[in-house]
Amino acid sequence: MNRIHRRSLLARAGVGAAAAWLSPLTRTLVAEAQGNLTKRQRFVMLTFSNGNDWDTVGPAAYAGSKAAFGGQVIVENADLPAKYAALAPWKGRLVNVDGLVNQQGGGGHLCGYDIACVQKASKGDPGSPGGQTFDEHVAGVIGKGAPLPIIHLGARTWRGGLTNPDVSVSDVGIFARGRGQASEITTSPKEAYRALFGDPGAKAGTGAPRTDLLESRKVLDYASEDVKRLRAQLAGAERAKLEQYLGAVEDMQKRLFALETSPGATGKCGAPLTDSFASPEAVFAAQVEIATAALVCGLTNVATVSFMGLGFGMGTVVPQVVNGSKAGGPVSLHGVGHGALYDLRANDQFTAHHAKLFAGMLGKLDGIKEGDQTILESAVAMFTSDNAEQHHARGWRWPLVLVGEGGGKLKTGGRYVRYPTRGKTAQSVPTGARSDQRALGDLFSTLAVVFDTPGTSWGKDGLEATRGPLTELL
Amino acid sequence: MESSAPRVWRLSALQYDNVVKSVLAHAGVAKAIYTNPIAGLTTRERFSNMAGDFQLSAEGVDRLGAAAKDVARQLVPALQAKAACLGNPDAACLKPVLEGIGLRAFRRPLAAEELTRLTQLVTGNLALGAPTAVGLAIRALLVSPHFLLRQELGAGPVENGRRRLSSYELASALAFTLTDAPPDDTLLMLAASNGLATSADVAAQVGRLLKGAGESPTAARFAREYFRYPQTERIFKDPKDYPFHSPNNLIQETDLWMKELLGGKDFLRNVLTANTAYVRKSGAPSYNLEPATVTSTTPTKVTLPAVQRAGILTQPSFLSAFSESESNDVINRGRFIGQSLLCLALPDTAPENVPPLREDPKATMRELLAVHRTSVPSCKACHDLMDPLGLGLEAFDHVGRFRTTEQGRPVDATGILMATGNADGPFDGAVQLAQRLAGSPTVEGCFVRHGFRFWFGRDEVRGDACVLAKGLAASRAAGGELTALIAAFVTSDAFLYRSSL
Repeated sequence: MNRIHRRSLLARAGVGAAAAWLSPLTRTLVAEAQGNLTKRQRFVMLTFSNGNDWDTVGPAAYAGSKAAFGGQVIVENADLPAKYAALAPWKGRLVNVDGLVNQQGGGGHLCGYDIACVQKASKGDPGSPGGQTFDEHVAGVIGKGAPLPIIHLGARTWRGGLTNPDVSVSDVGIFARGRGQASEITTSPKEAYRALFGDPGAKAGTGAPRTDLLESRKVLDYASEDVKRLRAQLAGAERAKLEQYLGAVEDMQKRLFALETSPGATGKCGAPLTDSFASPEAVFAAQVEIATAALVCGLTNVATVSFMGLGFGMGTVVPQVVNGSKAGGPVSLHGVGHGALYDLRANDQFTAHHAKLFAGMLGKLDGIKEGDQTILESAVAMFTSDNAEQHHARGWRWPLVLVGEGGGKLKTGGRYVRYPTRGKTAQSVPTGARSDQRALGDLFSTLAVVFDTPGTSWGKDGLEATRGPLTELL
Repeated sequence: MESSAPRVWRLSALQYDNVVKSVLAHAGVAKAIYTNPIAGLTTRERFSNMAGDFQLSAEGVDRLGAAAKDVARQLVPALQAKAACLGNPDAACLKPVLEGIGLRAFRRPLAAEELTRLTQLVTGNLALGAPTAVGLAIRALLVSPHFLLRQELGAGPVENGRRRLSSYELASALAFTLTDAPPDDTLLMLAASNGLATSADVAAQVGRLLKGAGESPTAARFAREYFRYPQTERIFKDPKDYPFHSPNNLIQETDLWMKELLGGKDFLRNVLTANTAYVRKSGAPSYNLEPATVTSTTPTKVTLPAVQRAGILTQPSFLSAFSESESNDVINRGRFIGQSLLCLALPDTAPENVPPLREDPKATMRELLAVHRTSVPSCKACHDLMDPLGLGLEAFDHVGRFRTTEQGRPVDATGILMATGNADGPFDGAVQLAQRLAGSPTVEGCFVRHGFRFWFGRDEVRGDACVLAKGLAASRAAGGELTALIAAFVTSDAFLYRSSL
């Protein structure tokens, strides 16, 4: 496709009200980035809740009842399903993957850490992660080249259907740094902005050096000394807490230093922050913009952005996203999942909305060259639900889209690749496992090859065996 | 000799707010705007504030720093208004300011070397401007582990392998345990003057802080976390189908009901059997009351039919908290009774490869759940214990309404209670089940064990047997008052002493 001209990019920068204050940011970043960036690999995941309905995920010939039990299918130059319409500019540069199985987390409203392929290991609704998820793994390799190895941003709606954009969460169970170590997801755009670009104050956007970083380091120097002194008084598990405290402080000190020396932290990345983020979708749109800016700015090479709209049976009303559903008005995401309010069209509208946000991100990544490639050409961007193939997911069939060439290592080509999949009965009961199924873990093994990172198996073997990279995608 | 292990204990989100409030109040600032850096970091444990539950990442440190910066930004001008010398501060100017803030932030006086380092942090950075430099010291205090972590290490001479908490550690322990707030001026004064040295000193402060359990914020939090009814807000019910169902109202109604019980005698028996409730007009259907019979728009106490309702297990908040969007969550209702009231060792997660329940819209939940107890051996051991307890509540639907039929057939809520000692036996419905539970010494002992975990912030160990026994005896002697149990805990040697390192 044609590169997006800078002016054209600026015109497309806005995504709803939340983007109003970020458009200048993106503008500045683009202007700064063009011409002086060096090539680097990036990995992005955009996830959304409520499942990506399997009936409408493939080309028309494979939709609905035709999506039943069958062997591997590869369709070249495949039509995009309607809900992926926003991805049309990248139609020839994406691969629409279907049929991967992954049911370690047990499904339900939230597949837990299954999305990045680590099973939940212990008690609690999302459980405790059984190990490191792929995003964190790849951040340990390609993330090293940036001040922040990885960022996790998101929007969350649950507990009374309300969004609290002022807290960060670690209990939603999607990403994990390691066994028992859930990755925190920043659900406040203001917090995300501050952590990445500094206080959105009056000096923002002027290019002035960020003195806040140095000040923060001085504060942490003091704290670090306190931690060491207290640690010396403790033993055993209590000492381990202080070890963790010290590690976190030192980690943050390193990040602050790296940010100080980063071209993206010169203060040019700032812009007034005025939105109140009244809706979860406004929060999410802002988070997508912030993540994009951080990637473009070179502050990180790995980002996840998650719309967590359906945890623990909660629903949310998204009238600005879903219109014309059979409910005749605002709908609850949970409600459209099943029962009397079951409405595939409404859920697909929701998916289509997120595809638009994803497309907005792709446009910016594809609009900036690093060396002889655009950012997107050397990156991989993944679009998927955190809940597999339906509202009450079972992980039988995990639809996802990959965009970007990964520096030429990922074979996309506008294909629809459906792996051997089981079908379902009218009651959504599986028709039985197949011996030739491929696991979602195999996809991450594939991406591990793309990113030259060691690792051939993701997730726990047993429910579905991982068998290594998917050769069709390499 | 009784004691607990030395420990550090991260402030909860509420405690963090209360300590910041105390710091601000010292400078005459009524309120500061900041984002609580701990909010949102939930625990996997039963109770939200367990000492062993600690995680801190770089992102967490970043948020701590951001909150500290926000607080400092609002605190420094207030300090400067009180001490003009802060416009160009030297050590003499800084000393009283930092000592005052430090006492509130660390809940103990600053050590000399801490004061020196903080002073140097300010004076060494005056080139950044005095407000910024003073702000650095405030920020350093609020990111320090001495701020974030409650410390219970013990001090003084080792006697019988243990040391008593220092006076300031004890002041903090009492204050946070009983009020979720830092020590007030009285406690700080007593700590400074060795006024918490005797058992009588401690008992007097426990009495002052605890008041009645109905007024105790931590007792109310215990009830919420133990009975878990606030999780009803996490369960989606479609408002089109259940317009009367308001999770927030239900929680508030049970809070009011609980407050009344917390302050009275025979707490455990009453909480399991009382057929009263607080109801408002809009939520009357949840309690099977005709809206016309409930006129008040604010929660009003009513007596419900004794043949239908008995205690917390029949409160709509509890029943909907243990439900799915459209059905009862029989397994988790049963697991709650098993784990929380009977202290049965039941796993929190199901084994792998559990088959889905068959989808039969005409089957009762009892019929559907039979698969776990009949066709899957790996499920049987636990479901034999859990499911009959949960099925005892089947005379209520998933929004908490009493019902007599399910799928057009009479509800079967019969079962047999086991593992309760002298309360074992058959029951038919929630009322009989609750009455059996209320008469069980096993339930009473289990309740005391959970109380111990909550107020000590840790699980009980073998050496705590005496503390548990004394707590139970104290509660019984006081006619089942919860305050007696709490007081017995926080005046015990296990609370006051730490084993020597």
